[in-house]
Amino acid sequence: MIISSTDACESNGLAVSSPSQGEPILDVRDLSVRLGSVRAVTNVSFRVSRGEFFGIVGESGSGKSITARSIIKLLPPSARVEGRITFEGTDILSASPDELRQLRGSGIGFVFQDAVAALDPVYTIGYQLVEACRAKMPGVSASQAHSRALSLLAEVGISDPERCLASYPHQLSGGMKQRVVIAAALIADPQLIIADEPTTALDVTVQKQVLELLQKIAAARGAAVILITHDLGVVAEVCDRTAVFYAGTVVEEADTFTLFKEARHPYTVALIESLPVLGVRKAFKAIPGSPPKVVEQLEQCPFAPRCDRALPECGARLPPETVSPDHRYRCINPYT
Amino acid sequence: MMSSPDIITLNNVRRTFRSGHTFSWRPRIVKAVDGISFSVRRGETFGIVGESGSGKSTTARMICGLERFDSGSIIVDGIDVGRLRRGDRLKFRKILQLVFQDPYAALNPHWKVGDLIAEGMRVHGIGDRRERRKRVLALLDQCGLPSDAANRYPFEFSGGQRQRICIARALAVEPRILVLDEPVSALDVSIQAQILILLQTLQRELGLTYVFISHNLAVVEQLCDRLIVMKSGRIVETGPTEEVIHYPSHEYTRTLVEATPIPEPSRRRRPAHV
Repeated sequence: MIISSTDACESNGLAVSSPSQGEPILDVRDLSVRLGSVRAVTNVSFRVSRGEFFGIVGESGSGKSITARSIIKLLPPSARVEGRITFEGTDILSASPDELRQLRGSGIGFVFQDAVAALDPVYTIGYQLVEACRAKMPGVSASQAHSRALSLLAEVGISDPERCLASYPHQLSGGMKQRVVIAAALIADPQLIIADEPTTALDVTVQKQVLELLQKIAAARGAAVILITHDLGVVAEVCDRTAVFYAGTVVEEADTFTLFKEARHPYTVALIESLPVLGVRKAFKAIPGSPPKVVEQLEQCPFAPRCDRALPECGARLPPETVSPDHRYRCINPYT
Repeated sequence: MMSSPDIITLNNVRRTFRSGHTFSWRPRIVKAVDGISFSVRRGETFGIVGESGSGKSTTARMICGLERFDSGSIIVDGIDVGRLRRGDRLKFRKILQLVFQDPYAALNPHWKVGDLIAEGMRVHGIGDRRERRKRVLALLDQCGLPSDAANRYPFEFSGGQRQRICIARALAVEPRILVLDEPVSALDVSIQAQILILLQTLQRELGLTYVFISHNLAVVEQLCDRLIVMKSGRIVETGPTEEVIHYPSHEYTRTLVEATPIPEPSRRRRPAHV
C-alpha cells in the first residue's frame, strides 16, 4: 500500500524549486541567546523566504523554541540576546514595544505548542477570538469581529463554527483546540506563521490533518511557515527546507530532499538512521550517549563526544560552517 | 514465530466508566473496553496499538490488575486476574511487572537508585541485604548504567537513563512478563533507539514476554511479533505485525498507516505546495 513507491507522490522536482531563491521575509543573523550562564542559542543564522515551509528540527534543549521565541522577542527578561533578526525590513531586536505589538499577530502569527495552555479556560472560544480580533484591528465592530472569527474557524476546518464559538475550551477535542489556536494566529493575516511543535500532543491521524491544514493555509495565503518539531518524519512530509539544531546551534541546513539524501553532518545522519521507518523492517541503530542538557561554552563541536567520526580537532574549536548553494553544515569530517 | 502456549488470555473483557456529572440522574456510560479477546504467546512481543481513547491503556492496566473489569476473564500465567486477593497480588507481581511512559514521574525523587531497584526484592523477601546489593549492581550493568548509579538520586540522570532505571527495577524480581506502556514516547528521538535495543537484548537474554503499548506504528513494526489495533474499546484488527501493516484489512488501520509520517521526503505522499 502506501509503502510501495507507486503510491508515493512524484514530487521530487516540485519542492526543491524556488523557495530558497525567493526574497527573504525573515533573516536571522548570528543570533545568540544567553539565559544566565547557559548558552541557549549560539550563532544561529537562517533565512526564510516568502511562501516557504521552513522546518526547525531538534531534540529538547537544542534551542529551537528559544530561537522561535526570539523572532517575536518573547523571551524571559533575564535573556541576553545578540545578533540581528530582520522581518520585512524591521529590526526586531531593537524594535520599540509599540512596533513589537504591531508585529506580533499582524506580521507574525505564533502557534504555541500547548493548545490547552494557550486558551483561557474561563472564556468561550468566541470571546477569545473576538477579543484578539478587536485588539489587532482597531475600529472593527463587535459583529464584524464575530463574523471574522466565524470565517477563520471555517478556514481551519471546523465544521460547526457557530457552535465552536459558543464553546469553552474544555468542550473541544485536542485537534479542535489546535485548530482554534491556529485560527487565532491567523486573525491579522500574518505573513509568517511560527508553529512550535503544533502536533506533538496529538494523535497521528489528527497530526496529519493539522499539518495538511498548515500547508493549505500557507499555500492559500502565500504566507511562510516555520515549523518547529522534534520529529524528522514530520519534517520529511511537509518542509521545503530544514535546519537541524543541536546544543543551541544549527549543525546542518539544507533543502529537505538533499538533507535526507545527502546529509553531511554525523548528527543528522545518525538521527535519520535511528528512526524506525514504517514499512521497512531493520535493526534499530542508536546514537550513543545523550545530548548535553546545559551548554555553557561552545568551544568545540557539541556532538563530538557522541560522534563516531570525531577527530582530535573536533574538541579544539567549534567547526566553521561549510556553505554551498542550498546546503551548509558545521563539521570538519563530514560524510561525503 | 513461536508456537509455545499462551501466557496471557483475555476473554470477552469489558470495562465501562460512568461519565458526566457525579450526581446526574442519567450518567453517560463510556465503554472503555468493549468485549475484547486475545492471547499473548510466551516469549513474544505483543503490540497494542491505538490512539488516545482507544482503550489500549485501560486494557494494559486490566492485564496488570490495576483496573477492575466488569465482565469477562483475564488469565495471566495461570492466575485469574479478576480474582486476585491481597496475598495473591504480591505473587502476581513476581510474574508481571510494568514500565511506564514517563520516567520522570515513575521514580521517587527522594530515594537513591539502588534502593528504588532493591525495593521489589525487599518486599518479596528475596535475598538478604548483601545479596540484594549484589543483584542491584548486576541489574545496573545489565541495563547499561554505571555501577555508581546505585548511590545517586534520579534527578542526576537523563530521561533515557531514568527509563533504564525503571527497566532495571521491573526486572529485579525476575518477572516473566513486562508490560511496557509507551516506554519511549517521552524520550528524545536520539535516545529512543537505545532503549528499544536494550529491550530487545533483555528479551533475548531472559526469555521475557512483552506487552508493548504504543501509538507509534513504526516502532511497533520493528519490535512486535503480533499486534492488535484498538479503536473505541474494540479490536478492529489483529494478526502478525507485517501482515497488519502491509495488508491492513480494516479501514481504520489503513488510516493509521497512512497518517504515520515517513522520514523519507522522496516517499512524500503529497506535494509540499499545492
